[in-house]
Amino acid sequence: MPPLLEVRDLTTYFHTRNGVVRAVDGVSFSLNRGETLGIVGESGSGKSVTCYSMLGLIPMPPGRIEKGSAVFDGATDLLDCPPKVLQSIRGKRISMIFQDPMTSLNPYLRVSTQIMEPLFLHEKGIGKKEALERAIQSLREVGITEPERRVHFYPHEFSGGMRQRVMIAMAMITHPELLIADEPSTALDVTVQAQILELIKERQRANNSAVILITHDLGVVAGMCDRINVMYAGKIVESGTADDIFKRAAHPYTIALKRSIPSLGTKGKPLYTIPGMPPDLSQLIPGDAFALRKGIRSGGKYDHTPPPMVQVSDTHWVRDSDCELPSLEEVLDEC
Amino acid sequence: MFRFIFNRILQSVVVIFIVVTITFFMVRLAPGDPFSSERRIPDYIQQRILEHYGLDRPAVEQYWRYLQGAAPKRFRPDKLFTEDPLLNAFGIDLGPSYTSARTVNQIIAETFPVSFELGAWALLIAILFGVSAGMTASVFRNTALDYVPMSVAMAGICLPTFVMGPILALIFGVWLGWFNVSGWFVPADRVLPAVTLGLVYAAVIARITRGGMLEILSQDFIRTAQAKGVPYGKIIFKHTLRGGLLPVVTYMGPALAGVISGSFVVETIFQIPGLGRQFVQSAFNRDYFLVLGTVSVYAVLITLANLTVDIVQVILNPRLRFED
Amino acid sequence: MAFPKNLSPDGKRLPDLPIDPEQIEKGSSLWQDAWARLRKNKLALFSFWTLIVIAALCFAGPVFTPYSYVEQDLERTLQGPSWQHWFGTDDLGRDQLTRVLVGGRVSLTVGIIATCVSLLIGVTYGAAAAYAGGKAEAVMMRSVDILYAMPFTIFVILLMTIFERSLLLLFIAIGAVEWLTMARIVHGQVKSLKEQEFIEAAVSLGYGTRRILFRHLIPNVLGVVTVYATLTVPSVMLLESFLSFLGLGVQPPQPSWGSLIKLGADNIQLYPHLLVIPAFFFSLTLFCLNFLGDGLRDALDPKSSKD
Repeated sequence: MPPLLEVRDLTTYFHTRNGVVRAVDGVSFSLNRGETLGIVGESGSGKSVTCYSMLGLIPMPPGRIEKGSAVFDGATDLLDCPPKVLQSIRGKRISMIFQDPMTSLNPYLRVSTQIMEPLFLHEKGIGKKEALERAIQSLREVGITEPERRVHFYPHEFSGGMRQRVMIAMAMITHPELLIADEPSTALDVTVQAQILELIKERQRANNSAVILITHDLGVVAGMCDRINVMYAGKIVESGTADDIFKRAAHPYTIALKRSIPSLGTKGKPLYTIPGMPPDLSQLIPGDAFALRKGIRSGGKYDHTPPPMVQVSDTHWVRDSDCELPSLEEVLDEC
Repeated sequence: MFRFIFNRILQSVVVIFIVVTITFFMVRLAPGDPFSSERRIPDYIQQRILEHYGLDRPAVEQYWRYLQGAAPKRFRPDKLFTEDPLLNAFGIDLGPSYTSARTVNQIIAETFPVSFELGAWALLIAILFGVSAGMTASVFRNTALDYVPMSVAMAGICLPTFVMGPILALIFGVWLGWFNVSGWFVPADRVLPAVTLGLVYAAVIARITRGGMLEILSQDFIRTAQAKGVPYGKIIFKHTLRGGLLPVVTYMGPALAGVISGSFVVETIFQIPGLGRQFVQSAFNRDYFLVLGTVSVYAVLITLANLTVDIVQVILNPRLRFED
Repeated sequence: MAFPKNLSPDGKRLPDLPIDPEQIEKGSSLWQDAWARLRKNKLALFSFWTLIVIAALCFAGPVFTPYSYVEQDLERTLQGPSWQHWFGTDDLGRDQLTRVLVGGRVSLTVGIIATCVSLLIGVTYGAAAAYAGGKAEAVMMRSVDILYAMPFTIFVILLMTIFERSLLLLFIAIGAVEWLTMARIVHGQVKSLKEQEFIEAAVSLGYGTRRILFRHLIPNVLGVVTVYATLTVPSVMLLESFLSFLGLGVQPPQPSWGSLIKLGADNIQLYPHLLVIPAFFFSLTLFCLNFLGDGLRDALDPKSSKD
């Protein structure tokens, strides 16, 4: 059986007035049915653009998918198929939820209209009554009380966490094979974050869907993902199982990310922060992008040639790097 | 919701009242009166005239008497289409006209329908052309279908009614001979004045529509709709149009006020027997009651429009419904 | 960097400032950026130079024409363009070229001065309201709302018919209408700036009120005010010409583009050049002012730009 999704060499550039921004530069990965993949990186690392590219959600222009393929279910290349075909997959077999639930629902339409919309679009011939029942059922499944009444509400009558639940209900109503969650908990209160992640996990199990979880927070993927891709400056720098990443991290960037997770038992100790800023992607970077970061020492091995991916084990790949992280003391001195 | 509407109606009454008051004292406090400016008449005759119209009384008393006459006293819808609907249907008496043998009521009853028809055509043209051009431009952003209508709109904004009117009259009236240059007799006489009056607002509405649509199209929830597999047409008409047209609805208040002041010019250019020309003439002639009467009609019209706009906005934007 | 260390006196680390106040204080960089962006906008640049040319012609041109704008020649009335009179003559045999240029001078002067009047009132009022806050702010802005609902053109017309018409009255009448929008814009701008984080940051760093006002608030409001002032000039000129068209604005023998267009409109059947020439100059000026205003808005406030 082919993997549910096989992405090869995906490359998306934005052609802006200030030059070409290489947002995603040769990303490859694959995803099996029912599996959970985490994509981790700072803002601007290209993790969201990767997923938006696959669903055709990149504004074009200025965006352009330069090359690559994303074969869904062994049959359809999402990057190179008629718009009609892509439309019939979006919202039916692949659903997506977004970061900010406050702005991701249409404020001018009732929740019922919005939740039922995928049904009317993708399940031809479904009656109004049945669709409404499915919508109510779907709301009940995401833990919204009194769904019969609240399905007719407008989005502004829900709180942030509730709206994200509505988004999940809307995304799962067609029982998609793949759910892409773009920072689903980032904009929410800490107490609600865990509930939403738990809910996604629960709905995933109920539908046997695969999930791609995009986040900047390594802590979030820890408990959820089977495999993790770490992205930096538009490229994957490390890819492996949760164990590979958390126990045997090899790339200095992954190590820095891990060290900057606050955890219990470190109270009173200063927290490690990654110095500097991600590079400006409108400049062509011929070598190791991480080596350009302020405060990072590099031996100069990959100043002019791109570092290759090295296989560490059956499941674990890492981009070669001769960079060295500054110590905690040096980081604190910088501030 | 009902409290909101009630409040707004109350506010409208206050605005109308203020407008009438300001107008009254402005015309009363001005130097001179309608009979002193023109030709010399013997003092005792002048005195008799002033007494006849009550102009010898203190200003406050005149004001009170005017308000008593102008206040609506009844509502008989069956009498709306009689000779003097203001008096017969509402019990409103706006007083005499100094420069005409007819009462202000009669003059308004005669001229208002003409101006109303003109304004209605103009607004229809403005909305129809403006919204469709603005939508086209926003849907086909940064293509010829965006640049061309928007450049035309920009040109339209820079050609105010008093430039557009004579130019249209010159091209289509004088050179091409398709329409009469002036008058209000046959249906074809409506075309040039209505187009003149409507085009500027069509241009403004086109720009507002484009801006509103683009604003909504850039929102996150449009991306959500795309991700759900909603086809493009549905994204435009179902998800975008409502919010995108809200600024246009807001603009309808100022647009109506603009159409009214535009009608002063257009009715002068095309010599249309409407309320606008009447107003300008009465102001020149210092025909107090006629000035007050026409201004009152405009005040009622504008506040009614603003009221409608507010209510439509609340209907279109569910977020406003629960705030008071 | 002159910017104080990102540390509070007791040595704890303060949160990063969203915008570095140093950046804002260097007011010039905002204007330099804006100028660089404006220069890329060809239409705005073209408008800018066209306006300069029109203004130069209107203000200096009448000196070089061999006629004055009041000089009548009743034997040569309503002539078409010729070598003696490039734009022809009007109904009293006055040189139309001189009158168009002088009319432009009047219209432009009225536009600029009345804009300054409305600017002064509007900015003061709006900023005062936003700065006062609380009840005073609510009352002040509510009265603007109520005034906004008034049919102002009607009042202006009344004002101009009832009182003795003069340029001063015209300025007062137009200024009274136009300041409302400016007050609203400045109020909104100051209010939102007041709440923005970098002002809070400046306050928490112990900057004084005056320093915040002059270093942070005013430079930031200035951009928006410049844009709307540029857009107010055409709307003032429109109102002036509208009044002059109705015979209520600038009084004869003083010409203005509005009254010249009126004369043309009265004579379109036989002498269309009397309409076309002033109408062209007037529309071209409005066109340029609007495009320049749009260009300035894109240049000074890139966020509000349409694409």
